[in-house]
Amino acid sequence: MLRVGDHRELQAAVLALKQLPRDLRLDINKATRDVMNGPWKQAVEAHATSPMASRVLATGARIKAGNPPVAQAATSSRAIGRDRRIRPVDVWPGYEFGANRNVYSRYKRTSPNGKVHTVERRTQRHLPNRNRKGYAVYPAFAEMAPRVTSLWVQIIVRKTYDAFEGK
Amino acid sequence: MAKGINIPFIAEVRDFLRGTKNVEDALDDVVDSLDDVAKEADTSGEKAADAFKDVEDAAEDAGKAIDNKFSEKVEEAADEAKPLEKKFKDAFDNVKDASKTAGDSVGKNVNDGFDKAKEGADEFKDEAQSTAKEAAASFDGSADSIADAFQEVAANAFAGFGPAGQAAGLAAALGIGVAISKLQEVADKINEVKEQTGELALEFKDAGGRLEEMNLVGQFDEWLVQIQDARSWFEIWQKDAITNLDNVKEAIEGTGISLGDLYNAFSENDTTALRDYVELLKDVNREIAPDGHYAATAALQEEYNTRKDAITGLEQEIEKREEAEKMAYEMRAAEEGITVEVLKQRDAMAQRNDELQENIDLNREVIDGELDYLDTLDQTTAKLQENAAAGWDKNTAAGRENLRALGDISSAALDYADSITEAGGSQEEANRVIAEGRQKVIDAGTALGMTEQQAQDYATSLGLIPKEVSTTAKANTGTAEQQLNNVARDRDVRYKPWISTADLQSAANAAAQNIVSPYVEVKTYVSTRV
Repeated sequence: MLRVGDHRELQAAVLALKQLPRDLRLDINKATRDVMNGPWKQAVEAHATSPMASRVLATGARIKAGNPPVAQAATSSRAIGRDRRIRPVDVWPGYEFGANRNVYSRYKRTSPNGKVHTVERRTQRHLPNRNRKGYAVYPAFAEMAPRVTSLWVQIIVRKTYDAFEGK
Repeated sequence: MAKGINIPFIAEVRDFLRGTKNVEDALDDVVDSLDDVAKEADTSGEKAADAFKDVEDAAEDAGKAIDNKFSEKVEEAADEAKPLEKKFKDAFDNVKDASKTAGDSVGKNVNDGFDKAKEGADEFKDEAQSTAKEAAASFDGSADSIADAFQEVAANAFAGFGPAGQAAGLAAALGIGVAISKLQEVADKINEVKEQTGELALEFKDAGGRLEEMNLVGQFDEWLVQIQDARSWFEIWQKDAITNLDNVKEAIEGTGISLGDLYNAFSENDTTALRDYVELLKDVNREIAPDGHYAATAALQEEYNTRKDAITGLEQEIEKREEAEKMAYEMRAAEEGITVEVLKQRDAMAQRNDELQENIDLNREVIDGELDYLDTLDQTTAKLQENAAAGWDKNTAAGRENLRALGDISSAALDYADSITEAGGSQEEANRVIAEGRQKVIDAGTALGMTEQQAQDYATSLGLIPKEVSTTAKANTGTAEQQLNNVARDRDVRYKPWISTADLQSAANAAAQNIVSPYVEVKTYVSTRV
C-alpha cells in the first residue's frame, strides 16, 4: 500500500490538490474520473471469472475522485436475479473472497405436501473457494494501483501547468 | 463509509492533511525536497519502483503479486514524470507569486478606493452584497441572465454615490471586480449543484426506485454543513464563513418550524412537505417586506436576507432532488429500453408484489406453524401412549423420551405462537396457543404421573408463559406465576383425540389441498420497442 507519509511525490500531489483553486480541483477530479473509470471497470470485469462475480463485483465499479481517489466496486444496492433478492452490496464478500464450499448447513424446509423437514446440504457450493487475496477486485486493484496513482499525480501536475499557461 | 468495496489508492491522506497546519509552507518544503529527488535521477526511479513493491507486500490482503511488467511501467511513468516535476515546482512557485502580487495590488486599490469615496462605501457594500445575492437567486446560467445580473449589480451598487466622477475611481478599483467575483461564485455554484445532482441521480438509480434505501437524512446533513458563503479576501465586511445550518437556524427562528421538522421532511419519499415549509418561510418573509419593498429596519432587512438565503438553498436542494430522481428514472429507463412511465409502474408493482409476497410468506408460516404443532401433538401423543408405563423417570430411556415429547409440544406451540405475532396477529391469539400448549403439557405430565404442581412448574420451565405478562412473572415470580397458571387453566382448551397416523396423513393432505396459495404475481408485459 502506498502511504502518503512515505513518499514526498505523493505529499506534493496531496498538498497541491488541497490548496489549488476550486475550479482547477474540480477539473482535476473530473479528469481523474474520466480517465480512470473505464480501465478500472474493465480491470474488475477482466478478473471476474464467473458471470455472477461480474454481476456482483463489477456493478458499480467506479473511481471516486478526490484526495486521494478511491476505487469502488460492488457498490450497487440494486437487487439482481429473477427474485430480486441478491444485492451486490450485501453479498460481495462471498464472491470476492470465496467461502468454505464444503460446509454443510441444516435448515428447515416445507415440502410441497406441507410437511416440514430438515434439509442438510452444502449451501455455499455456488461460491468459489476461500481465497484471502480476493478473486477479482483486489487483484484488479493491485494491477491498476501503480498506474492509476502515477497517472493521478501526472494529471494534477499537467492540469496545474495547463492552467498556469492559460490553456 | 460507503457500502461495497472501497479502496483508497493512497493511504493515510486524511491523517497527513490533518497533521499539516500550513498547507502552503508544507507544500513549499515538499516541492523543495522534490528538487533533490529530481537530481538523484537514478535513485528516484528505484524509489518509485520500491514504492510499488510496497503494494505487492501489502497484497497479503490486497491481492496477487505484481509482475515485472508493472515495475517497467512504473519506471516509464517515473521517467515521464520527471520533466513534469520540474514544471510542477515552477508552476507552483509562479502561481503563488502571481497570486500574492495580484492580491497585493488589488487589495491596495480596494483600500485606496474606499479612502477616496468613503461616504458612499457603506451603501455600496450593502447594495453590492444584497443585489449580487438576488442575482444569484434568479440566475439561470444563460448568457442573457449573466448580462442582466451584471447590469443589476452595477446599476444598484452605484446608486448611492451621487456624482459619477466621484464613483468612477471606486468603480474601476472595486465594483467591477466584486461583481465579476460574485458572478463567478454563482457560476461555480451552479456547476457544483449540477455535479451533485448527477451523483444523487446515480444513488437514486442504484436504489432502483426504492427511496427508503437511500440515506436522505445524510444528504440533508451534508447540505447543512456546506459553506454557503465563504469569506473571500475582498469581502472586508464579512466576519466569517456562513454554513447553510447558520442560515437555516436563523431563518426558522420564531416560525414554528423546528430543525427536526425539516429533517423529517427530508427523509420523506416526496418533496411536498419540504415545499410546504419553504412556502411558510416565504410567507414570513413577505410579512416583513412585501415583494419589491424593503424592510422597515436594518435588523429586519438582515433577517429577511438570511431567510431568503435559506429559502434559496432549500429550494435548490428540492430541485436537485427532483431533478436527480428524474434523471435516475431516465437513465434506468434508457438502460432497459422502456419509457419512464412503464418503469415507474413497474417499480410500484414490484413494491406491491414484494409486500404481497411478504404477507403471503408470513401467512404460510402461520399455517405451517399450526400444522407443525398438530403434527407434533399427534406424534407425541402416540409416543406418550406407547411409553406411558415409564412415567417421567429420567433414569430410563422411555422416561427421557417422554420428557422430550413434552419439550416438543412446548416448542411447537411456541413456534406457532411466534408465527402468529409475526404475521401481525394479536398477542391474545398467540397467548391462546401458548395456553393451549401449556394445558397439553400439563395434561400429558399428569398422565405420566406428575402432580398438578410439578406439571405446571415443568410447563413454566419450558417457557410456556403467555408473552405479554411474562416480564411481570420475572419481577414477582411467586404470585405472578400463580396468576399465570390460573390464566392458563381458565382458557378454553380444544382437546384433540388421538388419531391413527394413516388418518393423520389423509387429514393433513386434505388440509394441504384446501390451502390455496394466495400468491398473486402481477406481470407486466413490456415491449422493448418504445
